[in-house]
Amino acid sequence: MDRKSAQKYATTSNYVLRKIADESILVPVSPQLKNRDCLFVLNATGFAIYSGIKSGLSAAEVEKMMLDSFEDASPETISTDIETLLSQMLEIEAIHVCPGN
Amino acid sequence: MMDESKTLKEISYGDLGNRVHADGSGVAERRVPTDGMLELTRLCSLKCTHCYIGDARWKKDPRELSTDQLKALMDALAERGTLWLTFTGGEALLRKDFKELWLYAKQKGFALVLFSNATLIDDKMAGFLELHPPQCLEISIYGATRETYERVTLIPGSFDRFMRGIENVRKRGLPWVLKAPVIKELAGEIPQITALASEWGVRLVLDGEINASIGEGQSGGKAPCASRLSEERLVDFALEDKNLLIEIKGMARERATAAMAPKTDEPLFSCGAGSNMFYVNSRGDLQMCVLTHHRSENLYADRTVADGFDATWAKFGDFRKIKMRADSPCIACDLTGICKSCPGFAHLENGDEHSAVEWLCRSTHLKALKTGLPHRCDIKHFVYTPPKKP
Repeated sequence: MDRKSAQKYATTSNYVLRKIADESILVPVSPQLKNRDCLFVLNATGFAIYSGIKSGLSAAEVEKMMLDSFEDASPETISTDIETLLSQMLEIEAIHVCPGN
Repeated sequence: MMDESKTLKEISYGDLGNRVHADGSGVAERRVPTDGMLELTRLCSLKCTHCYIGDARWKKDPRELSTDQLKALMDALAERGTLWLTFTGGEALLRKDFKELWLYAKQKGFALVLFSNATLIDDKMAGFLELHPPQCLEISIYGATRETYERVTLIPGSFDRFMRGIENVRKRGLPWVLKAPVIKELAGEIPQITALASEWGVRLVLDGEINASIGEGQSGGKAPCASRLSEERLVDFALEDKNLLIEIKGMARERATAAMAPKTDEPLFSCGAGSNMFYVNSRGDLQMCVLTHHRSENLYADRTVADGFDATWAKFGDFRKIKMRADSPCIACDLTGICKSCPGFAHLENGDEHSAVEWLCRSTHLKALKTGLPHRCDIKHFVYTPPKKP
């Protein structure tokens, strides 16, 4: 497990997660955000990862959950997807690294 | 395992709207209430002659929804998949709790649109909206000059307040559009209004289809209809719309090769009302749209607002299965594609959703005649003599 997976993250209050029809959307709600003109669509994988973090799971726990849930996926693919999403969500300030990590 | 698409994809509100509302997205079939309007109050700072609200604009309604009731409603809407939400009135900014409601809606993640006449947008309010911006601020204009504006609004001093409001909106760079009703009182100033919009760098939307009032009293009923343009003038304005002309040309091309099949099994409601769109009035009546109060239920009647929404929304599904009556003059008409009539408009006009609104019917036939659009419908509401060729 790499550095990011060992860390603990938490969702910020900059976005709310909304279900619109079949879409899972991160809607920017904080006036502090630089870009509030765009939304972010999460696919099923992204939704599972974001929801896991929101419910308090660590990245490692999210990875384990994903491995259990998506049996046909390789551990490498799951790990890469989680890494990518964590980076993207850190960049848009949808999550932050928990203090003490 | 992973979806082929990216786990996190940036998308604009417009693109999401296109995706969600596209044919085949399932939103219409499953009737997801994605788009709604909340009438926060019927009170208004103006007394416009053509307004559809009626006398309720002038006295505080004791049944107007409270802050908590509106918040509970927004909770329910968010859970049910509403994203696009419009705050309207009356004049929504007259609510003392407007900012509180706006911030609450923002926190819920709604894409907010605000309808306003701008007379209450002082520097402070513009600053607030800059910090918590709407997707769009839709501002109505009632004249390019003080004289005309106040002849429509009946409020001395309102033109100056409007112009100050516009100045504040522009100064803060808020996203906005300008809307003008094309009515008798100001039709002569449409060129000046168009010039103002151009000077302000804002899109202008013209709307001449004035419906009867949804309210009561001296200004209710058919009072607003007195502001309607003649069919001839209405059509002249309508035909300045390039998109409409393109649409008519397209229809004409299709009809040159194949006659449109007669309709026999038409749904009464063919728009998004009660399918993905809804309207909640200031008393908490859930309607299919602003014009269909005759098909509404109160959300707060002995139940939670969420239960009220679900029960009423289910009834809307039944309403949408209603077919147009066989004796409706519109069922055989092949010009409905360019007609602005609808069941709500017709009900307000004639008390019958299946009826034709004669003024619109004549205007529609005139549009077809003036553009040479072949049509089968021969309802004799209107006899038009084309101008003689020189």
